[in-house]
Amino acid sequence: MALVYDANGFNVTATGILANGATSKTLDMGEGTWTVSGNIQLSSGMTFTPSTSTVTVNETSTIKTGGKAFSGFTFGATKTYTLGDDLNVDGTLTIGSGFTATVNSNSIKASAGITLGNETSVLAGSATLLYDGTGTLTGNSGTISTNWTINTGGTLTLSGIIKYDTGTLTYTAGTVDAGTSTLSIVGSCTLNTDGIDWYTIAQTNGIVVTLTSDITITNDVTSPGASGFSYTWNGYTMHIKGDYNGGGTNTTFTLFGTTTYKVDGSGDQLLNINTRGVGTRYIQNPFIIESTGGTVTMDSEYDEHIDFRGGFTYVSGTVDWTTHGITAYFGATQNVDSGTMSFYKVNIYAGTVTLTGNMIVGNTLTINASSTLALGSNTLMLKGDFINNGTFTPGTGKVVVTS
Amino acid sequence: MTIFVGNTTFNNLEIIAGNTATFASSGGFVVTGSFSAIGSAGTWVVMNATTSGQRAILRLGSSQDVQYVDATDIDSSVGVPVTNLSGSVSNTVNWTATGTAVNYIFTGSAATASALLSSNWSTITTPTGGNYVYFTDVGTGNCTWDILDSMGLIFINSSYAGLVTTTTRMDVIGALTVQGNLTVGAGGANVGSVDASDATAKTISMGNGTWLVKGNVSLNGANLTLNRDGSTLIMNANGNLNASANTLNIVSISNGTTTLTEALNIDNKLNIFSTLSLGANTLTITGSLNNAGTFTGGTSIVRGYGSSLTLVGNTTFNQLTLLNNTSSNWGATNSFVFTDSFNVLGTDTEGVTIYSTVSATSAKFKATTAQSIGYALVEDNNAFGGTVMDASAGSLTRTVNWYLNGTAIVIVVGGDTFFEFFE
Repeated sequence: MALVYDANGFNVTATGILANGATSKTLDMGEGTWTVSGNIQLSSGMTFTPSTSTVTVNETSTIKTGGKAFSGFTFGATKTYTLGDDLNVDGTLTIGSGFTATVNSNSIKASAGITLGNETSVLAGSATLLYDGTGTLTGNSGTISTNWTINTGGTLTLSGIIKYDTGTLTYTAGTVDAGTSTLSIVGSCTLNTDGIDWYTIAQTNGIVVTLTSDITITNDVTSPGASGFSYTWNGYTMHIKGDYNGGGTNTTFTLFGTTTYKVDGSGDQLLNINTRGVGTRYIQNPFIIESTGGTVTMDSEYDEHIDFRGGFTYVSGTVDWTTHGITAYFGATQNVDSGTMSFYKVNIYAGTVTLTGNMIVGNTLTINASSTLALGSNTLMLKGDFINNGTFTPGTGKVVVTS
Repeated sequence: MTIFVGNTTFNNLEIIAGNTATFASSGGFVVTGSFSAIGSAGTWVVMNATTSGQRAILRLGSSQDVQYVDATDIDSSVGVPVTNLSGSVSNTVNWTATGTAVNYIFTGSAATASALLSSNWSTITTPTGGNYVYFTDVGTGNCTWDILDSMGLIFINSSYAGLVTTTTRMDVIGALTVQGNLTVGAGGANVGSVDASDATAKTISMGNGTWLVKGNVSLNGANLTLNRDGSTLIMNANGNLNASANTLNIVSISNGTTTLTEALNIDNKLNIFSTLSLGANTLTITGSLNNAGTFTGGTSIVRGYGSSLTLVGNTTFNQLTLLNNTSSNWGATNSFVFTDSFNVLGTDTEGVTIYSTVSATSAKFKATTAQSIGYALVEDNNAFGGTVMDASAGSLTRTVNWYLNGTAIVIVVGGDTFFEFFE
């Protein structure tokens, strides 16, 4: 005899949903809310109608769907949930406010909206969050702490602050509308998101980000500063299309890693990079300016120094070092090609700086003791003083005093 | 300004005009490749040491180009000696300046501040022969130029808001650069060149005297108001003449070749005793052309007009056009050749007369190509040997090889006199 349950619009509280026997079953979830405090086990052969119901699970449990798709699905307690197979959610997937849902095994396939309840909502565990539909991810400062893949034929719209850490965020296909959202990197992770134009990227001290493709940010990159703060990005290129807000008047940090920072926006950009000019705060990464419009204004509120150690290349654009009186420090052996760009002040602080293009210095150029500036075959245009306390290797180049 | 501190060896070092390079008195600097410090008369290069009186060591090689450098406290005793063309030196070693001059900056503030008064100058001395004189915003008064000596240069900078008025001949060996206001009195000027080409709004009154120039003349500034007065401009050496958009009174090409680089308007006299090369420019004359030298027409157009236009001296024009209502007199027995075209724009009401300067003695015309001759009253003209001169209307008196509206004229010769005869 067939077993039929029709919730018919009522809310249901259950200790579990078990529908795995041999008998033919039909389950219509109706339009209400199911609060389930135990395992969910559906069978592939049953008739399952999710209607517009929402299932909230709030106890450690195993969830096996037999390939059936839920409408709304909420992880409603800080518990561990084990997926027996992929969890398909065609409605809104919610991580309840204040809860950490540790979801292990298989994938959560979200096909519509995703809501993180509040800033203490966390989706964790070994299950992959796979987005494959159209909808809005509302961050509310909550955290996704799992592998996260976006592979959709639709559009994923991002809203609010979405924190991410721990896993690998992979973009494969689809449209991602970042709106005015913020992706806040709060833990070490891997990003493979070439194809997404992130709006704002924020980060917290000590993160190590591995890029397996380029990353593009259209608005701000935000990096708080404090004693000992650092941010490590390795691999590929970070395309900074907007501002870089790093540190402040009394706060500094160091940028480590091998990722190339490329400033390549098409409008005005303010780069406030408080790395200090001497000591232990610096930019280890290669740095490129390739603006296609507007003015790139350099700033460093802490001491008006930016310490480059991974090489500096200017390709194009208008760059203003003067408004904030920024000195470009070069604190390690590296190549510098600043072409037709004019620095304000330059300080060759440590190591050997080899020019691979021309250099224009609008104010004072200082070569510190035990440091070397190698001119090569290039032209050094001086509009201010030339203080050589170290070594100047003239090569076959030319020094021009001009104004 | 760039201060060099710390012993440094350069390969090539260049100091651009108008800049100052200061070398540490305690430091040593070596240039192994080329050294270039090329200023100009109005834009010097300044080289000195950080401590006045204590020389900096600057060792240069043989590849050096040093001009208009104001060098002080530089010791190049090691290395190749430095020849500072048109520069000045002070407390230097192994530097030789040629054409040493001192800069004088006008500081006068009075409504009529005499140039002879030493207190009106930055040096508290009066400029003397060969010195360089600058009028800038340092001086707020008007200057009466009453110095007889020849200055090395005079530069009236655009920042000078006053007026320089000459009461003696303004003598300048080099350039007279005018970016401000200048009124020249009857004494005129005797200068190496004149440059009023910058776009600063200014007025130059040339006065009734003579301007003798031994080089280029650029009276073509975009906002220049030029009062030609009764002046005479004598081009006394090779040079370019550019008075675009302005009209001169009398111009005499006395020595060398004067080359027009823009159109030239003259409303009194153009005298040619040496060579005038027009290039492709237009010369407009209201008064007279007296050619006793070489007139090189190039591909130019000469436009003549006025009630008493006189052209004297054998001359080959490229293209000559007489504007309507022009009364012209051509040198008797002189030959005038038109290699491109001869155009007369006379009309029934505003005819053009073409007479000889001596009645009954012909001027000789020879057109080799096209002519366009409107209403013309022609007397004493022999166009024999060229193409027929065919005036559309008017009258022909004692002419040869002239037609009137396509009709040949029968000529009766009596002695040297031609008589008209109408069929």
